[in-house]
Amino acid sequence: MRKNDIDIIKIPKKYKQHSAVVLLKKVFASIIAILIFLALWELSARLKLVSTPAFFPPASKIFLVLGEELISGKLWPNVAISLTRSFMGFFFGLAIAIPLGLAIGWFKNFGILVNPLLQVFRNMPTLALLPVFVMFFGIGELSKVIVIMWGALWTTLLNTIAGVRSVDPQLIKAAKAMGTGSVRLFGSVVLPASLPFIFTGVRMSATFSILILIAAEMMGANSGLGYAMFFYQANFKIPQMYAYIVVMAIFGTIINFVLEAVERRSFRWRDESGTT
Amino acid sequence: MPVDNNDNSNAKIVLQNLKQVYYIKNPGEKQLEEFVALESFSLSIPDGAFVAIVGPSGCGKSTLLDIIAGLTKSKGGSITIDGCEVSGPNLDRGFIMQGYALFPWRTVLRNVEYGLEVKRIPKKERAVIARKYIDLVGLNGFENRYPNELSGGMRQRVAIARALAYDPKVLLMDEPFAAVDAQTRETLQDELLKIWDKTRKTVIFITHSIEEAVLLADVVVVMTPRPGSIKDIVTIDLPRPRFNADARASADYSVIVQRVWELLHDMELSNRQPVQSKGAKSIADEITPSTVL
Repeated sequence: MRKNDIDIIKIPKKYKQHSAVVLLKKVFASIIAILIFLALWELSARLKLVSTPAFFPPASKIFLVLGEELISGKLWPNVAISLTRSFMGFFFGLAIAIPLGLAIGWFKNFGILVNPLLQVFRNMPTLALLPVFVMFFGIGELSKVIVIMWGALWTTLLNTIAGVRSVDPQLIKAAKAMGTGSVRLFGSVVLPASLPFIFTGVRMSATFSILILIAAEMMGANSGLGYAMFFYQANFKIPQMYAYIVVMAIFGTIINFVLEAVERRSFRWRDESGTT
Repeated sequence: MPVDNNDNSNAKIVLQNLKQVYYIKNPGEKQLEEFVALESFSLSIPDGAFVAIVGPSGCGKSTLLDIIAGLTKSKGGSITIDGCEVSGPNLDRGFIMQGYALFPWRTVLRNVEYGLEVKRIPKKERAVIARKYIDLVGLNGFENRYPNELSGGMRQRVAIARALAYDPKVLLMDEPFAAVDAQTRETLQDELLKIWDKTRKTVIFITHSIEEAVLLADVVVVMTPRPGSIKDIVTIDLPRPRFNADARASADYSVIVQRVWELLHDMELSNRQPVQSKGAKSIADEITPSTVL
């Protein structure tokens, strides 16, 4: 019951000295699977185990081409335009999804009213709407940003609604017992309690924004990662095509990694349930 | 006798003819069935009294406390605190629940500050007051911990500090120690007695444990099964200050525990008809309060 009960365990010095080694081991453990995969790829491509070797260049060749694209300056403009599109779509999506989700979760009648509409919209394939958006917003950037926004907003919206609705009733009861009015109740209890849910939705929305981005760029664009990939495939520059796929994968992984790190830092209190 | 159901003069809390009714939807029936949870519950509690309420499960103890807290509207009767009618929740009553209900995203300090924020006390003062009560419940050094870093007993101390910090006139405690292990429970009981001795709040304490009720309270109110009303009021004239160690060794304590036990046991036996209790169980799942604030 006293202080020393939960004092943080102090790591003895002799173990601490090896923390660099520990880190190295961790890094190695986290990339070993990728390295083995690349080695197998390299090997099977070099040994021409695939029936059409032209479609299956060795991994080293892909990274070489990637380096060339980087140096020649062709890669960066594509990355920049894709980043801009997906971030804009993503942020507009959040700007709609979070306030709307909070309102739907908090005001029961509003939720009942709009739920049927949400169900219909949510189940529309996002890319099916691209031609519609192109019709209304032209073939330029706006229609792409809007289709990305559309694709990204749903997981955040649904998670926000779920977050608001799953706030522990005991916490609401405790706050009400202290004379908390409904505005304060929302701001000081409902919102913080649903933040972890909202953030999980945001992370998934980020993933969706990239998926939709690539598809939209493949369907109609003259710049961007998806366009470049599609272009190289059409021109039979297969290593280049793979190089762009690798870039997309790295792109998505970095974004997810950053968001997960933010999530971990922000919700330290959520390690286990703190209410019961 | 410090607590009774007649004399209203000089009382801190006056409960008069409280009644609570729930409406139950039976499968296959269109009409809602009326279900009386609490009936003609009247009690006058003087300032600084410690009142424990015991009763069989489902007798409306928690309903009663929710009504006093202002969280649920009663279907009849009235509550006054210092002569003022209770119409909703307010900081003049502190509410402590079994599940602690600490805000998990707030540190201990900020949890204890919550009621002070509602009271619009400036930030600096809040911290000073909160630290004082954290100290009172023996948690200094833990101000910046999150609830998930604390044991159950410590969490309940935080909840007590949070309820005391905004200086309510009355503490309402709904089985506060039911979720902690037996030893922690005894420690918390002793600590609560010490805190009560220092602060002299009027306490209404609901519990399942007869021993706990007798140890802590000036009077133990024994309730009847539903509809819940007062079966008897037992005055506990054991000397204070009390501690678990002393009480358990005292013959008077055992006699009173036995007396309350008999009062309770008697009605639980008469209530034990299998058909009725089975029916009651499935009914209980579908209870909806007639009015929830």
